[in-house]
Amino acid sequence: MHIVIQSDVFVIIFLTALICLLTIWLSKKIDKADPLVKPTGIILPVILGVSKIRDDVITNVGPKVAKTLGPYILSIAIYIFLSNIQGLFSVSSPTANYSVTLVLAAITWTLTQIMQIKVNGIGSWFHGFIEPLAVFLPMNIFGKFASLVSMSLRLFGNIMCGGVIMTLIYAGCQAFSNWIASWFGASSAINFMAPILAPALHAYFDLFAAFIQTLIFVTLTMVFIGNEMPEDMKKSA
Amino acid sequence: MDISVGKGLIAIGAGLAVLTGFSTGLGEGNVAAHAVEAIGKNPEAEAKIRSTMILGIAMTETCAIYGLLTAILLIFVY
Repeated sequence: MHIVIQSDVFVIIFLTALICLLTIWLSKKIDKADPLVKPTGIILPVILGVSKIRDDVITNVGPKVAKTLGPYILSIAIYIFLSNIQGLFSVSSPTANYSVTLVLAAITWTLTQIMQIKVNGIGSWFHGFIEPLAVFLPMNIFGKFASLVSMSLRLFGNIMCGGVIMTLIYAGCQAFSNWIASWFGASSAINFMAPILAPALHAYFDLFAAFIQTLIFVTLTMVFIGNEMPEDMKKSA
Repeated sequence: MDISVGKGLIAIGAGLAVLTGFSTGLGEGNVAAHAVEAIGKNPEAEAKIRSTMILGIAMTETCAIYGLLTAILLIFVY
């Protein structure tokens, strides 16, 4: 039997261990803090981030569902953000692997279908396939899977293409510095054009695009689940 | 000729795939134009308008990303 382990698996294990240790350390620090004093230091951005995500979730799905959905949204937000950044440390990020993003989008899709069945009943879910006319069956089948395909491909495409473009830029900088060094009759072993041209692109691909894609994924999850619910279900506690 | 006809056709296909960027440019310019106009009419809602505009731009960017993904897959796998 021939077993192949991709290198992304080690990055995923390391990242999970890092998030575990980080959250345990932060929660011990928050336990020791005085609740009547203004928080300072590392606790302040953590409290602001958690309360912002909690308010967003409650606005979209109501307080009753937010008790169980809120922690899931926070944990995938941290996980996706930390794994999109890995381009800065020259490691292949887990979300540049289609398996990871497909699983994350599949969890969101399953939660959406479960909420639909809970609100309308399972007979109405099957009846939705032939909703206006029976000839619409192929289009309705694709329409149900459209959100799964589009969410997974959006995250995968952004992060993987960012990594490929950075690799090409580094190769281009090496060729450029070889050409400049050939004026003095040598070829350059050190890639000295890269620290001039690459950092701005790192800031765009690895920080800005990573943050925006995390925000998009999390917001779309909340909006898809919240759209299935009737208005009075969102108000009751 | 050094390169086979098959590889040449793959290169043409990869070039055609990136043409999706054309409509993305039009659409995102439209989004930003309406956002700037809305800020002009209502300057105190600027933060909310800006974050909604970023959300809209990232959703529209998906079309260009599909094209880029197809082109990269064609060149580096085939």
